[in-house]
Amino acid sequence: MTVKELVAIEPKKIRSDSELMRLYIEFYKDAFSIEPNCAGCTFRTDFYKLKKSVTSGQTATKIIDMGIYKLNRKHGSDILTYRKDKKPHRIYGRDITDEFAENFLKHGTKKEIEDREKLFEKLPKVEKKKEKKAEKKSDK
Amino acid sequence: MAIQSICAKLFSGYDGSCESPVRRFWQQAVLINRSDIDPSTEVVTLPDATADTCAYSVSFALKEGATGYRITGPEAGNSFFGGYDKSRSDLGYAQYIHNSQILIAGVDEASKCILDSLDKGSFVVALQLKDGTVVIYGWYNGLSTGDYTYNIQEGGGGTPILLSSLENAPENHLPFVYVSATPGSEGADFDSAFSNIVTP
Repeated sequence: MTVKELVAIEPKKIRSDSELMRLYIEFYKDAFSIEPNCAGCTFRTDFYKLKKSVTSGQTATKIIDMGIYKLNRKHGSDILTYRKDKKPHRIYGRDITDEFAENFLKHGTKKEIEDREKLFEKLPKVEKKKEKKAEKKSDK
Repeated sequence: MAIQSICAKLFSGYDGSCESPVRRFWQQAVLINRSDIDPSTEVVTLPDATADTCAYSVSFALKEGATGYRITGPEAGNSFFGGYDKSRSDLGYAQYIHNSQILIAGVDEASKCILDSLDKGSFVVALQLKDGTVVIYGWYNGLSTGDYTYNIQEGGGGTPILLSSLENAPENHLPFVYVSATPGSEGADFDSAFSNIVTP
């Protein structure tokens, strides 16, 4: 997501979403080299300050990767493990990366992968691709 | 002027002016049977003075079905720590006696089995510092118990046990920093005792 996309979102929605608030603080720090002391307290004025800075072209566009995979927060303290070539690869849930998640959901038995998928809130959209493939086959 | 050896060349400095260094270990150790380490996964990385790159690490995985074994003490105690004694051989080579201290308590069969194995065997010991760094002691030649007195009445129920390099088999290197195959997962590997056991 870019800062332009963020400031286009309704402020109320950003304020009520922890992920969007995290992005907002990151973009704010990027634009003004300082984090808001109390992001929630001064959100209204700071947000419009950021929006003005973006619309006037003073702030460069930056893209922050929101991640393709999102692990359920309650698994942040779990150690996630997959085995590849008979060797274990581990990470704490809170440190998970998209690269690890991809391998985590690729290397394992069918049952293991099914159980692992349940740990995630967000997974890449592969269903639409499967539907499109099915449509192409039926068209033929 | 004679040519200086590449391995004896200093190529970086140290700035200790601002922050106090880490000074405490977590009160637990993971002991690994040397034979459980999969040789094909061992990677030791040392400083490269020609490229001016600093590294002093080891990366490894255990054989399938093997695990390290965690020894834990009270977190408020000081029984668990690691260090080394540096000396010089008669030929002039630097050599290091690695030391790791752990705590064993009790007189039941379980504690006797542990002590029996420690007294007879040679182990690689992993300790974790409070800043998250995992350090490996006795990588090449292993650590064994030195002389000790096990007196539960005088010792409050247990005894600190010092595992050290043998005098006639010191290490050629300082204790290595452990690096995980998954970057940043050193803590997860230590917390899992480096286990490679497949759960059914």
